[in-house]
Amino acid sequence: MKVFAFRVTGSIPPVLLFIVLCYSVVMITPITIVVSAHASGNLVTPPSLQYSVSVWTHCIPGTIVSYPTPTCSLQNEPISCTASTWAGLAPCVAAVAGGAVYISNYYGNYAGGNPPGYTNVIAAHIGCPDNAQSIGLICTCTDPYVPDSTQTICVTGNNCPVNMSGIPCACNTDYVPDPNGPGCVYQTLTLTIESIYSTKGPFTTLPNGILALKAVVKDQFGLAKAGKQVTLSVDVQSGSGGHDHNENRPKGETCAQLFGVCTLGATDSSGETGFSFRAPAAAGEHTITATCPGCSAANTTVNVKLEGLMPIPASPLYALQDLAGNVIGAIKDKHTDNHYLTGAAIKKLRIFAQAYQETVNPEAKLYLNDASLVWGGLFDVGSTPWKSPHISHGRGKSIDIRAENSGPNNEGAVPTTVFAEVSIEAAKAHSKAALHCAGGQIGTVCNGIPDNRHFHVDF
Amino acid sequence: MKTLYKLFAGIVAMTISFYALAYPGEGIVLDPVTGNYTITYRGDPNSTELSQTLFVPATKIDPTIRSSFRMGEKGVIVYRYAVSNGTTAKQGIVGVVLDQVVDPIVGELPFPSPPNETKAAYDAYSAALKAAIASPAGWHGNVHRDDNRIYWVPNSPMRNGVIPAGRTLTGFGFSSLDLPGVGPSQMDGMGEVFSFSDEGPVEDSAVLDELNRLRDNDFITLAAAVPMIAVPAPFDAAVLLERIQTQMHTWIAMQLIDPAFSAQLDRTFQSAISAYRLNQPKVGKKHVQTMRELIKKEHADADREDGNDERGEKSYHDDKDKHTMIDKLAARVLDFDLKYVMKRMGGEKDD
Repeated sequence: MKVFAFRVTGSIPPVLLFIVLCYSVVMITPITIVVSAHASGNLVTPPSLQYSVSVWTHCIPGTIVSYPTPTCSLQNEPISCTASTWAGLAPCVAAVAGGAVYISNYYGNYAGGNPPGYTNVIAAHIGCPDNAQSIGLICTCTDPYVPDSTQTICVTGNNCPVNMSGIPCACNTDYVPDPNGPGCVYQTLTLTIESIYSTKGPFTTLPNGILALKAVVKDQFGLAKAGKQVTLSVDVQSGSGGHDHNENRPKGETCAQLFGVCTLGATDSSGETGFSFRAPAAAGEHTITATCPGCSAANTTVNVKLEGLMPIPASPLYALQDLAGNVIGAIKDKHTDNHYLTGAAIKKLRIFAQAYQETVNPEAKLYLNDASLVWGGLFDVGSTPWKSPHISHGRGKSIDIRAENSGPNNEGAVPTTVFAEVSIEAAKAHSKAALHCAGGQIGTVCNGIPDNRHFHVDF
Repeated sequence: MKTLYKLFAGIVAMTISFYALAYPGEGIVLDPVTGNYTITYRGDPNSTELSQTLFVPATKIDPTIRSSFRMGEKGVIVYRYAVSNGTTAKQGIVGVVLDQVVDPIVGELPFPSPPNETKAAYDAYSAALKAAIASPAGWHGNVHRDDNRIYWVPNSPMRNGVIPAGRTLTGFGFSSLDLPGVGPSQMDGMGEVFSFSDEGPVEDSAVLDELNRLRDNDFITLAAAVPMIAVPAPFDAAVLLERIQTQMHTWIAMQLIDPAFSAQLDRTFQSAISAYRLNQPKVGKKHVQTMRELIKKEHADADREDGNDERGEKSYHDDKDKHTMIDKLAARVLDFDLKYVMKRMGGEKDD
């Protein structure tokens, strides 16, 4: 029959143990309650085995005692126990030391089934997690640490508003103060490309023009972010600007300064770093992409173009295509859309062409060769792409008109007999006509029949 | 004060006679013997190689223009011009231009524009112009409405269809509802077809800028009677007088009228305008008549242009030694305009 009974030992009288027990029950209960309330920074349970267990037994010299693995509990809740290292005889005068506190009784089995005495389990609190200190059996987080949501470790921040830590409280890394209340929110950096007047793209600049821009870094609340290093890259869209050829195509450049260094500085206190976009001579749609650490990439479009050009409308006064249906002056895979002028130039062209058809060369049409490309700019001709310009054909105010020559393209050409009339009529239209050709001589260069002869008319 | 308006080209020639350097070797040089310009330029921006061409200006002429104007039917004013080329001219005249013709002339049609841009529309436009613009034989007239310009050119300048040295050509004309003012006319001679053996001077080069300036001013400017004063509809004598007065004020800068004489006329203009505003036509008419008398003191025959003669300004300067307060052409124009006001207000005769 198993009997539970307090027994007085030689060195620890049962009365003292009873007192300790009562004291423990009285003290632990309110402490436990406090822990439950999470109000004092206490941990409910240690995160790992924090107690060592010792076993006392009724020490009767010469007796053989075997002990089962002890089971431990704390306030009737199971807790882990370390295996007892005690085996055999031991002094029965173990003191409650090192802050050891009595927890509960342990009932062991005596080998013969007849308990020779009683067994007490003493749990000794041997340590607390980081940033906690031991107060009796209770681990209490040290200021400013607080228990985490599992109440097994101490963490920082809970004494500060959300997403803040430290003394004094500061936003955690990648967090910024929440302007709408206490605490911090995750920082989202926005990078934009703007004009110096803070307007947003797409932007337009003339061929060979310079555009003053800036990269701006702000957080989600519109607050400037200083010290951000911005990197830029530029690309130009194939086929844009009227150029069907793209090999070795020049593109615009970005530089921090108009001349010299092209490396951008970090953003200033306004979150800005300025740069210039230098357009190439050839028109085209450019994309500037800006990046910075922690920012979402930004891009903007810069159209390098001459505004206001329009296609020369079809008219009975002139021909834009030859009889075979080919666009006059078009070169496949290079420039196939070559008939753009300003509105004012088109008006003058039509009046000039009408005079040509009415009086200079009755019933004849002018055969219109290159004017400008759709966005103006460099109209590269010759054997070196992107280099040799078709001079004066970048602004929508000039056009070539086929003139009689020794080359293959004489369909619709202005006959030599009316060259003077063409020049005179052009002058009366506030325009300037000049013959251009190759292979002539100074002074009378185009009065023979040289190659590629044409009238170049500036309106 | 005669023809002080004249010869932009001369000024331009002086302006141009220097090296406009941008790239080494580029420039424009005037040959004082021939009057021609040698243009040296870089024809390829990727090369330093220089090219040359010759520019023969169209200003080697000695032009005179005589304007006449008379009242036609239904308020229409008939304008006629005679153009002469002096015996010293080295070129024949191939262009006669009148600028500042702001309002359409009688019979002028709008230039066809989409969607009405058909062959028939252009034919109708051309036929209307031919009827509206009188041209000498072998010449044709045209209008550049956006530039407020009427001009005449020979049909075949290469076949001697020009006004040669020592000759006068009459028959340029048109009709308008606008009263005459004094405006610019331009004459140019038969130069040579300008040409380049390549693409021409590099864009934005100084030499091209100068060359363009030279070509843009390649003509000789003379004063002519040009329809410049719109008659208000419905007719309002006060408003028309104000417009005539405004036109007269432009003559001061053109040195066609003495500022003191202009101020003297201004006072009478104001009195006439006030009288017409106050519905006192007789008083207004008296003031207008006073102005006409003042003009007549300067040029006794200022009202002679009413006849359909073709006498030009040159022949009208019959009192060359006399200092006058107003140019003869300006006097004729002003007298004509004031007489028009009187006619519209009830006749020229004194009440």
